[in-house]
Amino acid sequence: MIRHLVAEGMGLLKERPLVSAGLTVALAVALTLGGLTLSAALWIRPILASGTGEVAVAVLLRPHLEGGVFDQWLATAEKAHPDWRFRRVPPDELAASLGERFPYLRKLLAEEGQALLPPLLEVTAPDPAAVRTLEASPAVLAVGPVATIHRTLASIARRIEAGLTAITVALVAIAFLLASIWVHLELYRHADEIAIMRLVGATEPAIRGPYLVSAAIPGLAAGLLAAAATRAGAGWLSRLTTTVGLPAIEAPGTLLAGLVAFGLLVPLGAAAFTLARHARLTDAASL
Amino acid sequence: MIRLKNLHKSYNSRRVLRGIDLNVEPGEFVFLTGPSGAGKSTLLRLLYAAERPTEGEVWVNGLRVDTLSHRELPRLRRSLGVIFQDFKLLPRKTVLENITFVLRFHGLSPKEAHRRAYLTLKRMGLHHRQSAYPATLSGGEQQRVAIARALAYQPRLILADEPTGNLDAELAAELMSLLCDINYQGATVVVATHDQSLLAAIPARVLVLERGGIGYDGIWPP
Repeated sequence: MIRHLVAEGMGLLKERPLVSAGLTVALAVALTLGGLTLSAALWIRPILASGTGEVAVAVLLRPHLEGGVFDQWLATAEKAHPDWRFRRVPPDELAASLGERFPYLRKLLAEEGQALLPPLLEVTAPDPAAVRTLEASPAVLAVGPVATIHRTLASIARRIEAGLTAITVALVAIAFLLASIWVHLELYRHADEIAIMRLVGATEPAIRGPYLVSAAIPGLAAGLLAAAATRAGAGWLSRLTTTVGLPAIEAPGTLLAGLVAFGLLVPLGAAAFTLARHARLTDAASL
Repeated sequence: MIRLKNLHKSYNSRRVLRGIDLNVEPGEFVFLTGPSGAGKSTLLRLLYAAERPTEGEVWVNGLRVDTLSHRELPRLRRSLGVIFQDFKLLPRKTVLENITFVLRFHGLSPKEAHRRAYLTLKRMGLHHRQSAYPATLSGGEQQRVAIARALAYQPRLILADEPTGNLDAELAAELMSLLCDINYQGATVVVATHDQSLLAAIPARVLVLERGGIGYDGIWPP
């Protein structure tokens, strides 16, 4: 029975070889783009991971805050933000940092400057951007940068990943649509034959089987083509990325296997969906 | 074998069949005749469930056809041999494939289906055209392929809609002789025809459809 269905399905494909080849290529292109997109998404994942660490934001308070006032302000801030961690940067540490950046200040800072330095806090918060709200406090002179380069890159990478995922979903939808249209057209082209088959007692699996096969064969071929093309494409892109010192783009085996499986299952699903819809539309009375 | 109870069929406001009650016993040979538009083909279509009645019950081979689900339709149709007025051959299959294709639904192996299809074609005198496509056959040849397809799996009930319509007198006589043989072997045969010469040639039960009902039921001529 399966051999018969495969032979009938192949027969449907052979009736229109150019259209069948076109369908295979179109599916392969969609799946290859999907495969490369996913490879790129996997490639930027480490950048995403690097941007999730906590960031300490520098908060510079007004100079000459007396000890009692400073402590009171700090206690109030800690109470208002229990999930933040506050650390007062010791004056000598601040002086050392300034000295590293501006060597000509070292002498001044060593002699008397430390006493002139305003108090500096390091605030570590789950959402560093929220630290900016402290700027509203009259005791605060300035709030330092709330993002690091990693966070900025991660934010960009996250957007790229979302975009790439959307593109992949769209490409899969296109593959589904292509297969669905193919089966739909074949059903219309063979509508009379299907009606005759029903009249002479053919069961639904016998009628639908060849159409499922005619969608699955180009799908499987497209999946294999897409896996090969994705592997080649990732290799070519890797040559570019490694040239500029970035890691290689990889197409892991699971991704390639997934492309083959998708190539088979997406058109099969589309065909099953279209056939079920078609069967609902044509009942015995319409024969 | 066939039981119709108070059968009505209308197309919009046009009433084709009005309250038909009928019993056909196993092994009977029945002619269904009447003027054009009397409802002969409609009655046959109701028997093989290509139409649903507006009202009434249709029983064929122990199955209630009018309430049969889509899933059960193939079982009914595989128990019938239907010879269609317009042949209904599959255009993309050869003559032999048109027959083996149906035999495969009956669970025959490809080899057995091929063998039986060839024998049936030989019986119909068409074995030399086994590789031809329907479009290349004459009307009479297409009719004979359609008949061969209906007879190949030896159904217990044969429904024929104007089976001699495209055949010359000699071939028509041969076909009727073949149907008589099959009937003699125990199959029930229902033939819809407007050809009065057929009715006179074969001593069979004749049902005359008139104005949507059965106007005459008996041996021909009355």
